[in-house]
Amino acid sequence: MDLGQRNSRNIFVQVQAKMLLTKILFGLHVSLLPSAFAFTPINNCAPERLKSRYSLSLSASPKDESAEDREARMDMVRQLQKSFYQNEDVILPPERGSTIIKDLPLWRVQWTELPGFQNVLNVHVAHYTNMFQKVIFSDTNPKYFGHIYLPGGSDNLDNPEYKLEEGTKASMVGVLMQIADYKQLNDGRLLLIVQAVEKFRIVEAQRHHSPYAIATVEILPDEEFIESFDDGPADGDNHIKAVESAFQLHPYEVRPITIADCAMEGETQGISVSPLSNFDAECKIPEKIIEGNIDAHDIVFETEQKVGCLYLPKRIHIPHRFQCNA
Amino acid sequence: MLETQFISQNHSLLLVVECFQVWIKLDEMINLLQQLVDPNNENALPIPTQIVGLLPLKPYKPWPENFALAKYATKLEIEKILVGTFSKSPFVRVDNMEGYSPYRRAQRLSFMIPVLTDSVIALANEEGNTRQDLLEMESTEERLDAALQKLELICNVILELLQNK
Repeated sequence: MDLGQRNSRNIFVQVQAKMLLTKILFGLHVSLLPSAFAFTPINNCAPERLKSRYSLSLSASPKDESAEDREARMDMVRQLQKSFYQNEDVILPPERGSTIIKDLPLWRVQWTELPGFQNVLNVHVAHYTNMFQKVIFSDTNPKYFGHIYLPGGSDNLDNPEYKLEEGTKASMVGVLMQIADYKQLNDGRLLLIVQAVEKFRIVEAQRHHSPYAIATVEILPDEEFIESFDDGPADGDNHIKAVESAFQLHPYEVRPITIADCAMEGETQGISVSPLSNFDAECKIPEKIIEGNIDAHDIVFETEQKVGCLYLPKRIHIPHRFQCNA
Repeated sequence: MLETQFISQNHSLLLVVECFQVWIKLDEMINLLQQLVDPNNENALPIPTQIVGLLPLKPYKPWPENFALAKYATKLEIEKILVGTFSKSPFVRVDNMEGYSPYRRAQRLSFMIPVLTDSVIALANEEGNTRQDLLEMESTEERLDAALQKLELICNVILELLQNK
């Protein structure tokens, strides 16, 4: 399909979607839905006229609606939401030779995540429901967003004191998160299982303010990991190598987890997740990483030998591997 | 030897020592907590297996005789116990995975310690570094050092509580 055909199809889908959404939602609780679904009412489609034409969805107020009718209506709403978000820009890991992620949507909240942690999120605020749906329905995997600490959360999103730039009170260091699984509840809330994979620093914010911030970020592995790629002065950028290696390690370091895995059984219904991600026993590290890491391992083992010689009391048996002649 | 290699090796040296000390102190904290909350040793304290899986298989010097974490890790490994959320993930000892960077292992450990210390830090009545402070530290060694200080603080407070019991 060429670009023209694709655009025509997209416009068609969006017009269809908007019309159907108008039919379903008119006169109902729009506030339950993300702000992205605000639409301009069609002037000649008064609620009374719509009610008479679409008796299934609009014949009664929400409190009179049967559970089956509501479920059917919400299914249609979810399908429409997907059609709205299907052409969203994707968030990709850094390109080869780069440490940068562009246009990362940021979830600015009152707590800090750390790499290796995972969490269940119950997203109910409209602007963030909108943000997460854009991420979820984008055509990419893993699905990334940025988590960054903001005292007061959304209350301070437009506060100039917390503008995302150096010299303000805003935290500029956050964590890259991936969405492991999600479920949209009937009332519009999103249930997400998210996993923290990497630390980043904001390079430049494309949008500081509501509905949510967007920024270009740089991935920041720790100094030691970066330096472990140092093969000499003429050996290019170790930071880039460290970032490439880190992203290749993520499938091993972060075992995917589903909402079904986290469902509590028995009388207590709910979702619970261990705060730390598990390594994935079924995942293998790519060969090129293994080859690239041999030097790093050797440095550590050599160091272990030296440290062993410095610190070990003589009477303790030293395994052959760590014996040294010094 | 190139200067950059020398710096890199020095980093490794400090990291190896720092990691070892953190493991020893972590084991001590768990042991003291056990004495405090369950002196009869009827129930084992829950320890995140994701942390235990990071324990080095071949430390630069042998673990102390009373070091319980190594025995626990070996048990999990031999019995192929399922762990994690609702015990659905196989236990992974990362040193068994060929090619996994020891620097990455140390970095992961430095980020994970707060899951244990934050839950008992109220005992010590001292906030110390926040999680944001830890996140913003640029080196693993610095973060491990902060973890070690917090573990020492907690151990001291628990020891005091045990003595006054």
